[in-house]
Amino acid sequence: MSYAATHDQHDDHHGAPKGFFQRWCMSTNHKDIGTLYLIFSLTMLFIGGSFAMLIRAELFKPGMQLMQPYFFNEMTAMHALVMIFGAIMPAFVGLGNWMIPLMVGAPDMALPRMNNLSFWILPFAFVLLLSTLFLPGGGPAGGWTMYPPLSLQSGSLAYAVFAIHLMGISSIMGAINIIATILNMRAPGMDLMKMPVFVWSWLITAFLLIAVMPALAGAVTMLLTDKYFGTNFFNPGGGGDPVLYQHIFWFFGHPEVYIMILPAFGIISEIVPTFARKPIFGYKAMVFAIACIAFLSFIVWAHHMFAVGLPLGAEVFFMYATMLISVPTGVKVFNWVATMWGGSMTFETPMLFAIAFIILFTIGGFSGLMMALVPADFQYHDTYFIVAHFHYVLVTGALFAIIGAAYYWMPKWTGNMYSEFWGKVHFWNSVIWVNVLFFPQHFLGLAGMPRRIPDYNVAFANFNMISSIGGFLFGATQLIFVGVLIHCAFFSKKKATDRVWEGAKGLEWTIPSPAPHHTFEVPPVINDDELAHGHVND
Amino acid sequence: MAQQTMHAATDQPDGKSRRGVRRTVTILAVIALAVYLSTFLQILLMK
Repeated sequence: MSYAATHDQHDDHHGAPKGFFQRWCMSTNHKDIGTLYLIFSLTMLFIGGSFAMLIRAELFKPGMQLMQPYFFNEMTAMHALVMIFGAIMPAFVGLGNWMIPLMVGAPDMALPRMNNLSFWILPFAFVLLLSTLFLPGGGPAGGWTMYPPLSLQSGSLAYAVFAIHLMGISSIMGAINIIATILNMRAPGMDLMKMPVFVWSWLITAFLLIAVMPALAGAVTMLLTDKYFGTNFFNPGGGGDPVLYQHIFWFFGHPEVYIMILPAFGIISEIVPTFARKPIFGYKAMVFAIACIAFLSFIVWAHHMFAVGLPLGAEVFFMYATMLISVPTGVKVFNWVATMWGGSMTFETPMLFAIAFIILFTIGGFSGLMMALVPADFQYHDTYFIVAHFHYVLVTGALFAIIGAAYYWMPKWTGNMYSEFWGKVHFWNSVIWVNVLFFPQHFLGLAGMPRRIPDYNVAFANFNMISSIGGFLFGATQLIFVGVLIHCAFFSKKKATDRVWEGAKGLEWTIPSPAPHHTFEVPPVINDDELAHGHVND
Repeated sequence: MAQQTMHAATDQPDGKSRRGVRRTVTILAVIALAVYLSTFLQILLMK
């Protein structure tokens, strides 16, 4: 495979724009916008993380310690909103922006100006959302689900709804851009069934986003009109029904969970083959499994509502549909393990995070299966068991995959190698403390501790203290990550090679490190031997 | 080895990919709008 760039045209396009404003505020370059997304996401990770630290500090001991109950409720709601919409989703969009054009041999995203707009909406949305904490009446405090009638009592509902609309518009534009890029901008010879699994995972995720984000927008618009314009969509007094909100919300909310995990599956499917030095086991099965999970995500939403009083037939249907998801997910876990089986494995930091992902995400998956059982869910519902479950899926799942991806692709982005020693220090501290943080929450939930409460029975004291200690140390550990990132970007003396990793395959590894500002201005000539999945159809 | 062709984001004349992008964006935007409006319809029909 040869990397070919034109040098006889676009003289003004060769380097990045000189001025800071031109370079970062007006950028239409997928790499710069990807970098902006990733920096934004990291910032939000620490803001959302600081909310989590406050929550764990309050829960360190029984009794009220540091804050008023309403502020605690604000923290739980804002922690979730910031982490989901501000940290995890933008991180994946940033990784997609950076890597999808490089992986499919496109010069940029299909709609570069819209790409800029998609990003720059986000800081305004989050300033709006976070500003509610300083307003009279405070911020949203009814949880990220914003169930009526509780959420209608918040004085800042309009701010939150507008912020969610902005985030939704940003996500939908980003998703349209990604689909248009993948379907129309692939280099000749890059067939759909030769694309990297990460690209496939983003293609499917983008369809999910387009299908469900407008449902969230509709639901919160109806909340707004119920509160301010006298409608009765969810007001029983006017013939409405608050349970209908839950149906619409979870029709968005459950696919949203997969929006946050499918790109992670794609990342793990890139990292594992590289460090096992083997092609991924069952490429087609991996792609179909992602598509299958995405389809099933549309028909399981009511498993979040078993305790609300559904008809028995509905509960049984949603129980079995939910359990069915374990089949394609099991295919993926099996194939990752089979890829490692017999491989010449090495354990650099990205691989360590990938292996931790496979093990710990599977734990989160199994606790999800437990909740899928209707009779059992009546015990688990709204307890700390749920909190433990979704943090295993989203922290040791989505976040670990994002961190692994950052270590994996950072040498390509910066041209420098990160410190492997500090990367491993970061990994081992993360993996130990995250388990100290979240594993005891399973026991708390099974013992009956409800979620979203600032005070609790003394019987839950020990596990809460252990969990809080794990939380503080896991939070502090992420400062190591920031140190590694800054060192790699600005101070590392060790230069990265073009291929970076011995076992890496694919178009993105054929360009120089750091990746030039413009790549693939002329489509690359594709040699199937150099693609990770070039011979999948042979 | 695939044949080298014109690409959408270069200056070289290639209307096909541009049209493809436009068609993709139109279809996806219509789907998003339809989902948004259908949520209101569903609630109004069910309540």
